[in-house]
Amino acid sequence: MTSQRRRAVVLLLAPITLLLGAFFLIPLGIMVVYSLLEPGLYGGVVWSFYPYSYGRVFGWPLGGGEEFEPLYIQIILNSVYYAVITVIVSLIVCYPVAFWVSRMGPVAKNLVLFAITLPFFANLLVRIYAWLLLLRPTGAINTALMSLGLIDAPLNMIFTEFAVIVGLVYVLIPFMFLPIYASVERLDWSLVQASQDLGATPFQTFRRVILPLTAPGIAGGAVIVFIPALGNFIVPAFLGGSKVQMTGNVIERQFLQSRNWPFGSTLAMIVMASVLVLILLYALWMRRAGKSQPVGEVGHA
Amino acid sequence: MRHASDHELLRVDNVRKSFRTPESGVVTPLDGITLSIRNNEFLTLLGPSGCGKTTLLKTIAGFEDLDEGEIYLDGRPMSGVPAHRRPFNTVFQNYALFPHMTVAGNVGYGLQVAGVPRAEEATRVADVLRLVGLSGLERRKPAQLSGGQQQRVALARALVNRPRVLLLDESLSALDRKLRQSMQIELKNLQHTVGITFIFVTHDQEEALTMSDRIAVMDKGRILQLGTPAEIYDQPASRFVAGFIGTSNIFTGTLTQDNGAARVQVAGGPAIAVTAGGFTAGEQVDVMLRPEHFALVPGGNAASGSIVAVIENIVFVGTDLHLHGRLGNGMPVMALERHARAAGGLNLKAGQTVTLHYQATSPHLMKSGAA
Repeated sequence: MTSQRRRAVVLLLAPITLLLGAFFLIPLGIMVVYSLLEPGLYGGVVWSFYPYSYGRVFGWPLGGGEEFEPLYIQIILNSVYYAVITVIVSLIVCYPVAFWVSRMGPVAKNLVLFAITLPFFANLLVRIYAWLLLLRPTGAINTALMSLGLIDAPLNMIFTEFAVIVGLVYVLIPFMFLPIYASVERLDWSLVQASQDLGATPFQTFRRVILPLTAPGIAGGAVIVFIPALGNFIVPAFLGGSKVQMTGNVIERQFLQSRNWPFGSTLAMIVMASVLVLILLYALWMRRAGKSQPVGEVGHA
Repeated sequence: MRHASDHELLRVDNVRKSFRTPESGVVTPLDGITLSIRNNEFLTLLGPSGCGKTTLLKTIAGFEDLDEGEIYLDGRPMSGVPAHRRPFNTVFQNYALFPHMTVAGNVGYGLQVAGVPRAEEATRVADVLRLVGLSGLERRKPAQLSGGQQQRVALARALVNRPRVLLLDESLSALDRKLRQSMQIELKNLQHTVGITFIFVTHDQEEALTMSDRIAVMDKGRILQLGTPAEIYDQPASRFVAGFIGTSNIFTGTLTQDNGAARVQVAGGPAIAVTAGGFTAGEQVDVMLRPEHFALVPGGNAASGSIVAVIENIVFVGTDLHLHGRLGNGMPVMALERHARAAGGLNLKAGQTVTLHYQATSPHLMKSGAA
């Protein structure tokens, strides 16, 4: 690289570096530091080393009047559970649909892809509120079912796990669809034909050719649905009521109601650490899979 | 070495297929094709793109359904037998190797899905890789192979299953010329070694002539002629076949009989002496003369059994000279001259008038206007 080119690269990268530094790394650093400080009496922090917020979650180290509260691990595990269910449901919905869409004509295909991104144009709160109207006892679904005579009393749907999972799937499903669709669209159908030709049954073809070749899309979709599902607090706040709590709600309450900033930061750190571990696993897996992907033309004899 | 027998292995019986495309309306890639394929033969389906040869291959493989007709294997109808249950294997045009599997994984795939025991699979994969000359590359991924090697993997992957028929879809066209020529010979040898019926699809007449036991020349969903390479080359059934295989001079004219001497009178041109077997005087015919049928003599002495032409262009191709000339009436004609002979005293130049002699048995007559 010539020095001129290098200067150009530095100049081009400077804005994004500054932006990320100012709005991502610095707040993150503040959170890391706050999670290790003593909570102030009326919010804020006292500048002394105080690792006991972690003790409150994990049972160690304890001190400063903090007690081990297993509830928090329970909530984190619950959140993981909801996120996993969200990933599984959206995967089951998206995978077959991706094949269907990839087989459509160009016009229909673009229309469907547009329809899938359409919800992003409406405000998230409005869209979740709409689910509230659909799911509540006097809502559209219950009214319809009752007037059809299928049920006698309204189903209890709102403020349940079911409502939260419906909401999470609804909000996050485009993030599952798009990477899966991209990998399905790239799939070379002559490979499917070759597999048939070699005597594989449709199921064998799916398991040994289609699934491995679309796996990167599935993994990508799973990661980018799992992460926001895990940290989501708007959906459980609206559709889960007081019964269904996710980590996001607890963190939000620590900051805005309990005014225990260090404890809120601690919980945020724990969630982020688990997500990072997940991404690390994904990256390692991708690198292993990447070795089996074409590495470019090698050794033309 | 096993040779083609007369035993009929596969019968394509009056198959038809047409479909509607938004661009060109109704397309009929198979318009009543009947074909009998013998055991152990190397049959080539030859034709221009869009003639239906690939569709025919796909219907045999089971990837496409027929509108009408039936394909029989050993007398057993194949419609209703899905592709994965047909004892045929295909070598695809782009090879369609599984990118996520090794060479051994690709080649062993058919045996694995058929539930062949692992030990047997390993032996058969090793054997077939030795056969195609890829021993030692078992653990490579397709992307780490050259085009020729990928082609061999595709061949091995199909052959290892010991199919009754091997279908090859333009399988050599992705290779460069030199590799393609050596693969042609290799493929032909391989077919003799393994004793499997090969159906090869190509648009390359040279490939067809080199490898085939028989060639089916196709156009617009029909088979125009079926025969050995020599039959197709020497006695093409029509102007189209003659034009598609090799280089030829084709003149249209009226057949005349005069005291047993048959001639084709070309409108405004020469009369070509022919042997008129099967044709009657007064009939409109196409007469074909291959460039190598001519013996060249300098100077313009038109006599029976010769035509006079003026050389316009001399193209040197190595062993031969291609001489492009025109007859007196402006019709183009092409003749071939050995470079060695031309260099040894003929001293040919553009603008020179020459006489092209031919034997009366050389011109081949075809029905004029036949498809």
